[in-house]
Amino acid sequence: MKRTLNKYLIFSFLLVFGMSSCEKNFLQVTGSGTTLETDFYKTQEEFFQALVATYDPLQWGGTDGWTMLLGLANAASDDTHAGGSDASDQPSWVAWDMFTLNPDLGPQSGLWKKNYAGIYRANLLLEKLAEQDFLESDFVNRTMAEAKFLRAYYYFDLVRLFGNVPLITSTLGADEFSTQMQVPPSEIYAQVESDLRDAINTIELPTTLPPDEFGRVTQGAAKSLLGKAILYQNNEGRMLEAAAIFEEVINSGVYFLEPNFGDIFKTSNEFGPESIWEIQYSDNRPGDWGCCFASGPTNQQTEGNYNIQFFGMRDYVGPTYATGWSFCPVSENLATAMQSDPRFQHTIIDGNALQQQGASYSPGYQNTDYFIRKYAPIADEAATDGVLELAWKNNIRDIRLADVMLMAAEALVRGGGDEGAARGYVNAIRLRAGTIPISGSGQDLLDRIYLERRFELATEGHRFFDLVRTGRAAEVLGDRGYVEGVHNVLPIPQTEIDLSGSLLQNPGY
Amino acid sequence: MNFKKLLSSLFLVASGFSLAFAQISVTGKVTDGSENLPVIGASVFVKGTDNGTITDFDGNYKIDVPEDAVLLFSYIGYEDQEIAVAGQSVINIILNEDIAELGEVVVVGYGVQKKSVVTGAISKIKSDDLESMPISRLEGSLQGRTSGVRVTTSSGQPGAGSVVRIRGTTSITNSDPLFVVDGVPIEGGIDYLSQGDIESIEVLKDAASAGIYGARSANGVVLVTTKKGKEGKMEVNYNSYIGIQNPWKKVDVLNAREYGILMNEASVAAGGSILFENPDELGEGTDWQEEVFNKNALIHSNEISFNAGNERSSYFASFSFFSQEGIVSPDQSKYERISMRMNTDHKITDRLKVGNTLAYSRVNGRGVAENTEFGSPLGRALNLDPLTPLYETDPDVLASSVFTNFPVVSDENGVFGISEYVTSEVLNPIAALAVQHGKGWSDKIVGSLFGEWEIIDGLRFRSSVGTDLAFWGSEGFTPVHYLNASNRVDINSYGRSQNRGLRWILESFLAYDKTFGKHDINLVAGGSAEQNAGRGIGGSIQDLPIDDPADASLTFPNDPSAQSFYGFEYDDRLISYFGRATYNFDSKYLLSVVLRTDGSTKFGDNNKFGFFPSVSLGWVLTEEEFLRNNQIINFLKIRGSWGINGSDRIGTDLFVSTVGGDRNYTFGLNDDLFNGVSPNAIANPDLRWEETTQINVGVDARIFKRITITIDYFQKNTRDMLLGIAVPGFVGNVGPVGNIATMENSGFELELGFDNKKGPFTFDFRGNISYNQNEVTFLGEDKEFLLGATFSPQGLQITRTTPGLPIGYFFGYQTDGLFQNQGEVDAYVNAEGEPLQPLAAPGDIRFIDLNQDGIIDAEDRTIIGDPSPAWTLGFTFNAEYKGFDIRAFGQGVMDVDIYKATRRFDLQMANLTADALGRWTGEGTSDHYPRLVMNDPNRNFSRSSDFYVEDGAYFRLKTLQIGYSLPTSVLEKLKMDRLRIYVSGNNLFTLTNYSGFDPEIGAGFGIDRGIYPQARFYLFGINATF
Repeated sequence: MKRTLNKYLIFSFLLVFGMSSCEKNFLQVTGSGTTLETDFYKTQEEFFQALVATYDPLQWGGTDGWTMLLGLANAASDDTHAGGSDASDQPSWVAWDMFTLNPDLGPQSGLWKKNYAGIYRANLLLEKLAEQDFLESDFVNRTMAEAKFLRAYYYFDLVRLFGNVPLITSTLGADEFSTQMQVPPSEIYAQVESDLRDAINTIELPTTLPPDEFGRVTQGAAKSLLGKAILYQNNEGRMLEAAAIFEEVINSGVYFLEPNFGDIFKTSNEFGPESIWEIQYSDNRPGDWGCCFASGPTNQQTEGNYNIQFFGMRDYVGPTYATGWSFCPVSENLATAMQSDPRFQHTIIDGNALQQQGASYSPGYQNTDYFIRKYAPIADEAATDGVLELAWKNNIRDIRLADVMLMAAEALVRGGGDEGAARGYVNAIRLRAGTIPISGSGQDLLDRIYLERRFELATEGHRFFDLVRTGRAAEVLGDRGYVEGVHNVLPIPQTEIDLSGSLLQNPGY
Repeated sequence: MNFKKLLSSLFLVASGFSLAFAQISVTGKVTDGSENLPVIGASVFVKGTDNGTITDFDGNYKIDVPEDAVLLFSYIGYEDQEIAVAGQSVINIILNEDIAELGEVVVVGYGVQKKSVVTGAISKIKSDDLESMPISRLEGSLQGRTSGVRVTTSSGQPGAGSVVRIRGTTSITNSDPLFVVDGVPIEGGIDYLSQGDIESIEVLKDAASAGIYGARSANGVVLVTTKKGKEGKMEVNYNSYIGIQNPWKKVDVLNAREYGILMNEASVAAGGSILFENPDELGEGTDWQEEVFNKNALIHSNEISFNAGNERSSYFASFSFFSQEGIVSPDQSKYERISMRMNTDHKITDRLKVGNTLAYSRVNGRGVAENTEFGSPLGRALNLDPLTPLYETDPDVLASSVFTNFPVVSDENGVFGISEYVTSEVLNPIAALAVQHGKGWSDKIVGSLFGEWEIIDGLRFRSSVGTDLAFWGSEGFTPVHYLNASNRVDINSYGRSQNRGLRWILESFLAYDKTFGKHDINLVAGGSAEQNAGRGIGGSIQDLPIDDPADASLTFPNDPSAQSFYGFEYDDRLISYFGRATYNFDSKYLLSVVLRTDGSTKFGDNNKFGFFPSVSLGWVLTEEEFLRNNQIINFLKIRGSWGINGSDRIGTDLFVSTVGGDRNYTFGLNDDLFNGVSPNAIANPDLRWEETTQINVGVDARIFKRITITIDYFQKNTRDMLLGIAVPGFVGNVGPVGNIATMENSGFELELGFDNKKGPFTFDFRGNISYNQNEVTFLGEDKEFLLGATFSPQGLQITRTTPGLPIGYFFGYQTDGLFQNQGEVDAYVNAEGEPLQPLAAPGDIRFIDLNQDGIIDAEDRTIIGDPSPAWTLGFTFNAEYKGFDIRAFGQGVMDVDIYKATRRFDLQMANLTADALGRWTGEGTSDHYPRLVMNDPNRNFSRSSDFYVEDGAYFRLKTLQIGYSLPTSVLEKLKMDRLRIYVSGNNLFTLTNYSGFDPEIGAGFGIDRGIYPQARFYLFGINATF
């Protein structure tokens, strides 16, 4: 008996006081129901999912409020006003429209976080790709090229929106959160160019895609963005370099001008012959109102394009269109200027004409009775499931051939290149539009190119950036409150300055 | 008796009843020690048998006993005495008055202590206090019976849990105390315990008492000890009651005529038309509360227990059945529990003990939604117009397209009415209940097994294993139905879930007790390992080819796309080492030190183990010369404690970075959706427990022999409460959860007892009152406040948490009466002379421009009430006279507010409570209830304001019970030891100014969205002992 007891005692002592030896293992639980970051990135499928997540922020429009760049950039330009139901509907949109932005007011927080979320995912993916040793090199190289394109794309938006931003090319540790400093725009552009050149030099990055891969990065998209990034740096000495890159795209044989201008923005014509880079939206992930408004870099559940709902006519009853929220009413200025241009009807909805046909809508804030046509909500294209306001499937034609041709023409003229070729690009576009060719050279030609950009690309979100980068913003937007040297960029979000303790506000804010 | 013998032999592991000895006859007299009077009715028993008698009117007794017997003399209010017969034939006994509550022991973690030398703040509830109280869950046993514990029943729904707060709300994360039953921590399903199985409940309130539970002690610890077998003859206890329950209150709402008049008024005031031409002809209309409430709902309980033992073994075994119908919709709101228990203790050798506890319970419950504006039966009853009939009988309506085209709901009495006026979730409540077919169940097996070896005298080694194995699940069938335009189901569905969880805990410790002269030491040192793991699975199937819920099954071979499943797993582990050293000198100077360290899977890699020290001191002044044998102050102890407690209720996997999906993007011409995966948040390897530091000073005293007083003052500071850390946006991901926020609680507690234990009239009164003040002190650099609860689809913010204010205070505009005339509206201007409320008209609420910035806007909202009561009080009173007894128990709170959010203001035609009849209708008619106007331009109702806040104080007579115990002479004939019959009324009256259904609102932060009220019960019951 005694013996047994002693054994029992010893056993129990071991049980309790010997626990320390195995407590490390005991307390190490492999998360059940959740995948640890350290356990992910183990298969090609998982890497592909990480790549998808890197594309995901492209389509975000609900970070810190409604912050869709397309609509916002229209409001900031002279193409449209901010609109909405009244001045207090979306104060941050009105603030950019009227240039009453301040560090706490404006769309800057959402635009900042969205792009840095994309950069974080790209950085993480690139790090994980570099760490692994089991994937096939074809997959690795293409994924790396796409990730670099996406990182460049997000940085390009950041640099043109904010000017001075921190350059982060790896995931940050907690001790690095408060040590980040802004760098001059040139360093960001250098990173953008370098990432894009890496992508372009990746042989696995395809020139054309099979239909089931439409929407992924191509050589054409990377080259177009590279040319654009060079153009935006305003270095006349590099204009011919940009032009050459654009011409590579134009002459690649992959892209053609859509014969009929009016067809470009039909949803049935997504990834048409002119399309180089589209932001994909779809209605196949219905959501509800609770889904989509994150106050930080996180997930947006629906795949819908919120711009479409914004641009529609408020309380609209009538043919063709679905009702919307009357944002971005087209300015009288644009409507008047385009009055005799054949592209008017495909660019601008004439509300008065619709009303004469018996349609009705409620006039919103800054109503002009002109509305955006290219991204208008079409009743037949509405989602059939979920909250349809949040599920418009219209892709954003972010880079299309006409844009690239006009950029090529601009670069040629500014760089002292072949003006005949430049006129040729412009006139090809005018011919397609159904209007007469232009002539002229030098500054006159350049001005005609800029005007052509305005008409061809109206309400596509390019105008504000074109005005700023070519130094014409004060002249055109001055009466709206634009001040050169201040409103070229948005204020750095005040919360970023507060939380980092190391960022500096942009001048003038 | 054969039956009992059979049971004895069944249950006893070892039998050691004494064999027959020669019988002798003993006589004697029992007298009172202080007054030298005979003690009448004292019991005289041969120890360990049921051979006994009682003293007569002169205190004399006579009993035949074996020569070597030991006689046990006992009487209520006196200390027991044992005398060995040893051949004596006359034994006179003097019984001493029992003031020995001080000799009483209390259970502390890993041991017991004499109450007189306890240095912490511990409250105890004994089984006697709970007998024949119709309490369905353990939490109810805690309500009102001790100081420092606030228990608010979630609702009156059968089986509803309670919110238990020990010394206030300790954390913004989770403030639920730790429940430990016979050494097994129980989280979830504490209702498995049957009331009759509970021997005692100890509430460890201060840091030093709770500290032995380390990382789980910050919210206080409730130790439950179940009954054990007693040495002696077998005792059978049978307790039973049956009763009926009814709602104690209806809320006055408008009848159809009044509704018509007021809706007309509101419509016309908004420039609309008359809605009801002749409201006077509308009559009473439907009384929805009458339809929803259930009359005479049944409640009954039956418990039977057996216990016996000898010097080797003892057991306690019980079986019980409890059933309660709801006072709302008895088919959909009910609760049943079957439980059984077997506790045994055995002495293997003089130095080795083993024992076990084992309980099984099964709970079946059905519940209706409660306290929500989105579809609870009572919320609907308050909001649905009285014009809608329960059953639609109008042939024109029945022929309308809604009734002919849609699957409207009906029962054997007809087709349920559908409101024309009130929409959204405010449905015909009876129709909505008719399509609700959900139920839940649980099976729980809780057991423990221990062995204790006394290695040398005073040194014990104890090892135990405890398990809590639970199975639970639910199922529900939703038939095809149409309730109104926004509440219809076109495809039926059936879902079921089944879950299993196992918690096990392995503990071993050494305990050493030794007395050297006047030095008394007690040491405990040990460790434990614990795992709480579980998994569950649920599935659903759509479009079943059936209508009857009884036919619902998951086995229909439906298309896979019509089937879905989900599941979960969890696995939390804890490793702990603990020690306690207690020392007292001459029972006069007391010291206790507790150390515990806990390692948890919930803590980050950089903080895997937490360390929780505490210390407490005491000084028994009545042991000093100057107070010894003082006739006024019989006992006086001053004590104080300090300690650090932790809370590990912080969620699992918060410190690691996990990845999540649904970061989707579409590729391809056909918009093919691809799943994107990325990390959910930045990791925080520093994540750790929340920590509470508490100091306590207290006094325990007994004066005039009969009055006991316990006073405590405490201050509790909680820090490291979990909140999300905001990180700069350029980091690119959501910040981690971190240990950030701080909070303070302070308060004092008073427990008072007064008893008279000397017959024939005996009574005891115990009262307690507690004061608690809560203040949130810090929420991080980046947050000014935390959003709290909202109301209505508009998401009106109605609670907030802000540093400097109590947690979850009510938030909104302050009001200043009503505008009585246009002049007052016009005169309400800012410094610039601009109207402050440009949309107001006479009869509208005047909101206060609190920040005086000249406009009334969201910035003017402030604290308008506090849902946490400052004062909690309770009392019990028991008295007995010649077999009759009376038991009363009451409980209440004071200095507390309720936010009455029962009306869906967003639905303009929703019914109103009767106080709307006192609305403003002209100058001087009301200064509180604004005019009624449909579009409400001044937003009288659609702003959160103090208009909605009411005084929530109440005092409730929870139980009043009158019983009669049969005299011994009758009992002897019945061969019974005790038979008591009683009638009992519960919730007989409630003192409150609150106008809603019930001021006791446990679920939902003091917001009444149509709470399921407590029922008023009338019971008849018996307690019998054989």
